[in-house]
Amino acid sequence: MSYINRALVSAALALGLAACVGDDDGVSEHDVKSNYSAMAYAAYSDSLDSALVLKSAVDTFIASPSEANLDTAKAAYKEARKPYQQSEIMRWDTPITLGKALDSDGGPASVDDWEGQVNAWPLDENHIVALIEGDEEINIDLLLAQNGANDNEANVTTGVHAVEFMLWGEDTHGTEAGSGERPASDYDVANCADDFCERRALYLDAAMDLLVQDLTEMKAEWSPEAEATAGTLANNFLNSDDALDYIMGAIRNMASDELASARMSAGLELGDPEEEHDCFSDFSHIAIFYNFQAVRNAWYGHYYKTDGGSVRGAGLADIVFERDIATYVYIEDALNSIESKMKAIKDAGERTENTVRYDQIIGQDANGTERKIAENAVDELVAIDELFAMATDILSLDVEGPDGSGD
Amino acid sequence: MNSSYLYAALLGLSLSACGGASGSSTDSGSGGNSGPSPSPSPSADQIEHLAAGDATVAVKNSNAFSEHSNNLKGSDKIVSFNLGNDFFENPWVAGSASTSSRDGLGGLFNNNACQDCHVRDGRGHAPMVSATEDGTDFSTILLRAAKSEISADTVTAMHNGIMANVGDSTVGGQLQQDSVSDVQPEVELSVSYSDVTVSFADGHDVVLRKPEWHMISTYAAEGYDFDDDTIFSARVAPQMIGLGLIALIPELDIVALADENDSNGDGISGKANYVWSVKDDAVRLGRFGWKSGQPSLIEQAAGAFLNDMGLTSRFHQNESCMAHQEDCQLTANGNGDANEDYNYEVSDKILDAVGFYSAHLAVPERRDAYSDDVQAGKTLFNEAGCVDCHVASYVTETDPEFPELSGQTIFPYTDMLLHDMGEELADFDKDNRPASASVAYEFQANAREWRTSPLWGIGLAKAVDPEATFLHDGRARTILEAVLWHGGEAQAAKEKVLQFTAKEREQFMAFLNDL
Repeated sequence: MSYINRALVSAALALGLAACVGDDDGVSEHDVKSNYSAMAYAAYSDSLDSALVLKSAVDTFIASPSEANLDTAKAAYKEARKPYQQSEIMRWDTPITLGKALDSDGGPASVDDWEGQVNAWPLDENHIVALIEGDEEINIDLLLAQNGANDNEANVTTGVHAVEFMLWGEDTHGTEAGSGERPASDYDVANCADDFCERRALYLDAAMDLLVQDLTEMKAEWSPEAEATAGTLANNFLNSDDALDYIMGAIRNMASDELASARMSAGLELGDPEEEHDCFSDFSHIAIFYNFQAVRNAWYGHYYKTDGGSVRGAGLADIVFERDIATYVYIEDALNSIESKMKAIKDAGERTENTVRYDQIIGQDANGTERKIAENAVDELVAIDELFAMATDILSLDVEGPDGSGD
Repeated sequence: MNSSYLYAALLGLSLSACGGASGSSTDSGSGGNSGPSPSPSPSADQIEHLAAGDATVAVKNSNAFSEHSNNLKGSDKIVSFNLGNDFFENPWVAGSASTSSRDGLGGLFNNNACQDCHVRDGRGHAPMVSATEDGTDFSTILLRAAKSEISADTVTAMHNGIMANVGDSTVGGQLQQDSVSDVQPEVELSVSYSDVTVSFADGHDVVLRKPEWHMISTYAAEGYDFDDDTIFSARVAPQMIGLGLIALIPELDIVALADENDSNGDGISGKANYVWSVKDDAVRLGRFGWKSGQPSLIEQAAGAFLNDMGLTSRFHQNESCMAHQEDCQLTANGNGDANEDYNYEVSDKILDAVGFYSAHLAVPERRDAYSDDVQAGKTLFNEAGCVDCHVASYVTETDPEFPELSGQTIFPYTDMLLHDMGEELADFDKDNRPASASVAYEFQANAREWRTSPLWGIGLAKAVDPEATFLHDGRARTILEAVLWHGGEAQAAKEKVLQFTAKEREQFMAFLNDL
C-alpha cells in the first residue's frame, strides 16, 4: 500500500501544478529498474523456499502416506501459491528477452519456456494417469520427455499443476462444494488398491524435484550476482533501455488480459468450473488474489515477503506521481476498488462458515453475491487499462506487449 | 511512496513549461489500446495510413496482428475478445478431459490450436527443406482434396452454391496428417522444391521455388488410396487481421467489380463465389478462405474447428472421420462441458467468442505512407494494373452488432473476387500435374481460381513471424516472389512489373512493405 497525504495531493491538484520531467531530485529510471530486479529476486526466493517446504511435506507423506500427512502437504501447496503467483508478473517474454542469448549463462533461453514447465495449464490429467499406469521408468527425464507430448501443450507432465493433481486428484464436484478427493491410500504401497501406488509416489517425487530445480534456476537468474553476469534475466533487464516498457506491459497484460480474462472471466462466462486456475485443489481464490497483488507490487515497487519483511523502493507509480498526480490518484483509487473485490473473493473461499470457492462462484446464477463481486472485479481490471494507458503516455513509454504468445 | 518522495515532488513543482521526456525505443508494442500516431505529417485529407479507419492500431512489432480494434471499448467487449483469444491461443485436448470446455480434439486433425497455424495471428508458411531432407513441417499449412470426375448433377449443385464439392473417398475433403494417440493419421506429407529463375528486363534475376507435393495415404496398403481423379489444393493459414471489416464490405460493391465474362475486354474477369451458408440455410456471397468458400467469419471458424482440429460445433455436429477409419470413429468425444450438455465439442459461447475475436483483430497503421518512395511505389502499383484486382478502398456498411467496424473507410487492397491465376498456381493431381480451369473445385471456384488476397499488413508479416511465407501455398518466401508467381489474369500486370528498373523495384517494394 502507498500512503500518500491525500490532502496535500488535493492541494497540488487544485493549484493545477505539474512537475517537470527530469527534476534532479526525482525518481530515476535506474531506481525503478534496480528495485524491480530486487523484487523479482525476493519473489522467486520466496517461491523456492515455499516449494522446499512443500517438498519436505511431500517426502514425509510419501514415506508415511497418512491423511494427516497429505493434509500437511496440501497446506504447504497453498502457501507456495502465494509468492509464486506474485512472481508471475515477471513471466513473459518480450522483445527485451527474445533473441538475447539468455542461455549463454546456462540458464533458461526463454521465460515462456521456463514458465511452461513450471505453471502450465490447462492440464489434461489423462496423460499423467497414462504414464503412471504405463511401464516406462518414472523419473525427471520421463516427465521432461513427455511434457507437451504428441505436440499437445495440454499434455502437461511437470510443474505446479502436476503436483496439484497428484495431491488432490480430479475434482468431480463440478460447481458444487468440494475439491479433488484423492485418498492418501493412493500412495500406500503396502495396502494398494491397485498396482500403481509406487509409481504414483515416484511421479509425485519427480514432479516435486523438478519444480524445486526450476525455481532454483529462476532464483539464480535474478540474484545480486546475476545482475552483474551477462546472459541472466536480471542483467538483461537492467541493461535494457526498454525495461520500464517491459514493466508497464507486464502490469497491463496481467491485469486486463491474463487475470481478468483467462483466469477469472473465462470461467464466469462459460460456467465451466475447470476453467479456473487451480481446479484440482480449488485454491483459485488464492491464486487470483496474489496475481492481483503482483500488479500492485510492480506498480508501486513494493513486495511483501513471506517472512514479513519487504522490498520497498521506487516504482512506476512514483514517476507518475511526480509528473501527473491526478492520474496517480485515479489509478490508486481503481486499484483499491479492485483490491476490495479480490479480497472479498479470497475471504469467501477462506471462511469456515458458508465457504464459497471460485468454482462455486462460477456455478452461481447472475444474482449470486460472489458472482457479482467477481464480475465487477473483472470489469474494473479491464477498465483500469485505460488508466494504465494514460500512465504509459505520461511515462513516454512504448509498451512492450508479451511476445510469442499472440496476446 | 515514502513521505520524502512526496515533499520532494511537491517542492519540485514548477509553473514553467517543461521539456518533453525523451522518447524510448522505436520498437513500439502494445499491451492494450494504443492510438495511432501520425506517420510523416499526413495532411488532414490523408487517411490511407489508417488502413482500417478508427479501428487501426499503431503497432509494428511481433504483436502487430494481435491487438483488438482501437475503438473497441467497454469491459464486456474486451472480455469477449480476450475470451476468444484464450481459445484461439490455447491447445485443445484429446478425448474427454477435466478441462471440459477444451476437449474433444480429433481423432484426426491438422493442429491443436488455432494460433499454432495462424502464428501470432499472422500467416503460416510452407515447409522448409534442408540440403538433404524434404520439408515435413505441415503445422501451418494443409491440403484439401476433391474429386474432378463428378456427375452433371453435382456440377450443377456446385454451380448453384448448394454443394462445395465431392471429397476424396479415402481421406475426405481435407488431408489430416496428425491424430490423437491410438488413431492412425490418414496421410504422410512432404514437399520438395525446384528452382525457377525469373528475369527482369534489366537482367536482374530472382530465383523462385516451385513446390512438388508428396502425399501418401497411410491406408493404401488396406486398399484405401487416393482416387485417381482427386485434385489437391495446398493452403497455408492466412493472417487474421481486419476480417470483421472485410465481412462488412458492401456486397453491392463486390458484385459491381465482378466481370465474369470479361465484358470490358481488359483481360481480367473477377468472379463472385456464391456458397452455402450453414448458418442461414441459404446461398450467400463467399468472402473467406483462399477460394471464398465461406460466407461469414463464424462459419469460417466453425469449419476450421471441424476440419483442422476435429472439433464439432453447432454448425457441424458430425466428426469428419471416414467410414473405414474405425479408430477415428471410436475416439472419445468432448461433447458438452462440466456445466451443461450439448451434442458437440465447441460450445456456442466459445465459438461466438472466437468469431468476435476474429472480427476484431485490428489492422496496423502504415508506417510511412506519404514518403516519396512509397507514393512512387503506389503509382507503379496502380499503373502496372495490380490495383485492378487489389482494389484499394471501401467504406464498410453498418452492422449493429459491430458498431466499431461500421462505416469505416478501409484500405484492404482486394476486390474479394476469384481470378484465374494461371497454370503454375493451379491445384494439382497426385502426380503434381496442374488441373485445368474446367475442373470445378469449390462451389463456383475452379482449380485455377483464387480470391484476391487483401494486402493490408503484408509488410509486417515477417515482423510477426520471420518464417511467414506468401501465396495460397506459401511457396513465395518474399513478397517479390509472390508478385512474380502471378499468372493468368495477372500475367499482363506482372509483365509490366518485370519492366521496372532497379529504382522502380525499390519504390514498388517500399509501397508493398509499407502496407
